[in-house]
Amino acid sequence: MKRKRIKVRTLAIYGLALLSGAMLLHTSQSVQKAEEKLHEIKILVDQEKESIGVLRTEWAYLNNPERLETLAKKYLDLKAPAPQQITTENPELPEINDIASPLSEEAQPVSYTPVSTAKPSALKSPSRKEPAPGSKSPPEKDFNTLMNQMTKEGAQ
Amino acid sequence: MIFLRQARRNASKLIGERSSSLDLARGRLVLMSAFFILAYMLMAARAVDVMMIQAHPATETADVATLQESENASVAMSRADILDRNGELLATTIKTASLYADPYLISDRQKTAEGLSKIFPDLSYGETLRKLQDPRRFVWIKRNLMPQEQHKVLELGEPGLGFKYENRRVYPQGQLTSHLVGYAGVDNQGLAGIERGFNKILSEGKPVTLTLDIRLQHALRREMAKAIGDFNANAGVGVIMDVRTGDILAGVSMPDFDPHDAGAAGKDNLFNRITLGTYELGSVFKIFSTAAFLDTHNVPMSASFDASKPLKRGRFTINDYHAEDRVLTIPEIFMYSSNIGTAMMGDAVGTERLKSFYQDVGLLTPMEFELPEVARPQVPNPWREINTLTASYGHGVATTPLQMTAAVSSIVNGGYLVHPHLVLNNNVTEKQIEEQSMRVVSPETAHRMRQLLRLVVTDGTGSKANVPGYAVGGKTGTAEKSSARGYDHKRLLSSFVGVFPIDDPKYAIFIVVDEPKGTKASYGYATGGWVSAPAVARVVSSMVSILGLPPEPVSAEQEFSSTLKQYVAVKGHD
Repeated sequence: MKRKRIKVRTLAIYGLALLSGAMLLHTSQSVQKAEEKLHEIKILVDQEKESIGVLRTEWAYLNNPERLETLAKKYLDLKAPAPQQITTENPELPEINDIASPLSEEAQPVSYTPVSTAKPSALKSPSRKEPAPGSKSPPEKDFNTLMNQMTKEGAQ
Repeated sequence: MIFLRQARRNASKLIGERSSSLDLARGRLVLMSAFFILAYMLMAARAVDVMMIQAHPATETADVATLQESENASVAMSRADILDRNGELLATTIKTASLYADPYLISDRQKTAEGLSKIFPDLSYGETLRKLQDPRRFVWIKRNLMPQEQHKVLELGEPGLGFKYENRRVYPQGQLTSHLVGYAGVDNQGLAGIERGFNKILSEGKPVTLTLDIRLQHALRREMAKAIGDFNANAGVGVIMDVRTGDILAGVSMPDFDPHDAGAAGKDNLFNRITLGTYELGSVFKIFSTAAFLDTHNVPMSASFDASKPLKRGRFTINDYHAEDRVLTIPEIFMYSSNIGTAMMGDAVGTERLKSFYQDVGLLTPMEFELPEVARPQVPNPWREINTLTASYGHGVATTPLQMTAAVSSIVNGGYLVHPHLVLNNNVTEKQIEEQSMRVVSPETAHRMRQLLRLVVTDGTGSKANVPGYAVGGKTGTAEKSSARGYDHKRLLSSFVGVFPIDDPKYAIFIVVDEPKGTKASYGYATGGWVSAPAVARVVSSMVSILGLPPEPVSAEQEFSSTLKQYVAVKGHD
């Protein structure tokens, strides 16, 4: 019997077929891996978005004007300015536009007369005041309290 | 012999063919088996691949993340936010997880109940254990968990516990905007306010920006609460409006409610007095009748009417609250709020003209508004001559505080109609609104009305609304509420509408206090000038520091109303 000579061409074709099959498998595996990673990241992004939403809500809650006013009254010794305290005429003060900003390129050092350092005797520097001893401060409502209040009507 | 050779050759050929076809068959068999061997090798490789190469230890976040994955709505499709004009959050949606148990799948009831009662202090061990023994397949344990609590429950590792995700509506500003923003029900459908008016848009995930300024809203509510508290009143309404655009900067109706718990609120609290409350507002209506008179008849301000005697028409008598008992000029009629003088002016305007004037400024018909809850003003039908007289000083016609504010704005802004609106529109400028709007009074009439309004504050009944450095003008109103037996002089509706800065108005503030009672400090008076005007002054003081408006002190000569003073008789005593 004649020995069948295995042609190089045949070997090459079989080899290429194997190689392309392997490459196809590899590609589909990588795509699958990437898809799974994408899915996981999507979930994490969604979670972050949710967290951002919760934080935004908490921030808005904490910035409620009534809450800030109560806190300011409790901890700061300041009052809202009366119209008589606001003045628009004082030649010693520099105009806001004349003060050079370090960021502006054409900033030139502007010389201006320094404001008098004498303090008006009537004004005291604002101080942080302690709440009066014995006064019962109302329970501070925080965001968790708000969320818990919502659970009250939902709990069964 | 040749035949044999031929046969042998044929035979060898046959053998060759048969052997080559055998070879062919054998070759094919080899090929097929090679193919199958390859296929099995591939599967073996894949098996190895799946089990070993891809099996990396799942990170904790990915694990928990997959477990916490939402079943239904993701963040994008949840109900959208409502914001104020500065971007502050008025309403938003938060996804909360609610914990349930499937008692059938619970592996260890005692351990689970113990773990749960440790995480949630308000759940008792016994109660939780009882729930876990329920024969049903679904039992709520606790709703609206915080993310940290959810994490702790997952760490218990109990297969019988699960989460259902719900979107809850949260109002970070609390009851500050309860009527205008409204509230949504358990199924996140809007039931009142903007939540209801824009329900579809919000459900589609598109946020709505309102014209409200939460800082001004707070200032208004605070001062209204003070006025209501100081004078022991039943209720109150307040509106701050931009007179040039009709933007509603603040709107408060008191008593109000907590939008998170609207179900527990009383009907009185839920009632939106801003758009649903119709009131006979009394003397503040003199702004309109005076404007109609000045616009219809080109008379100088020195024109006068005889207010020395009560006005009788048929069986009706019209009196003044504080009778001056003399002839009064137009400025005097306005600043002393004379009913007699105003009724005469209304008479001079005539029924048809006065009625159409009130109609033009939007007082008589239900307004087109972003909120679905809008009232129908009460208009006399048929409108007789006596109705014209009473309507000129604000009785017999009942309208909403919002329409009142918008009508005043339409006059003081120079005379063009503005429509009150709650949703911010940045695409149109003040100038465009002015050019495209209908004219209701001439600019000259508007100027004279501004002077009259300033006169009320500098020298008239509205002196308590004055804020030094800021030109505030306005009109007081003290209306007796009607009852079955006519008007009750003990039950008042005290109001004040303030406008500033009067030389070029930008803001209108209207405050109504329902049934204030006089105090010692107010010498027993509970009129608009004592109750509402000071509240408006306080609101203006807060507004200027919030908005950063510097004061402009003017001397007596530069005072806007100074040219009218010549028509005001100097009184010997006050």
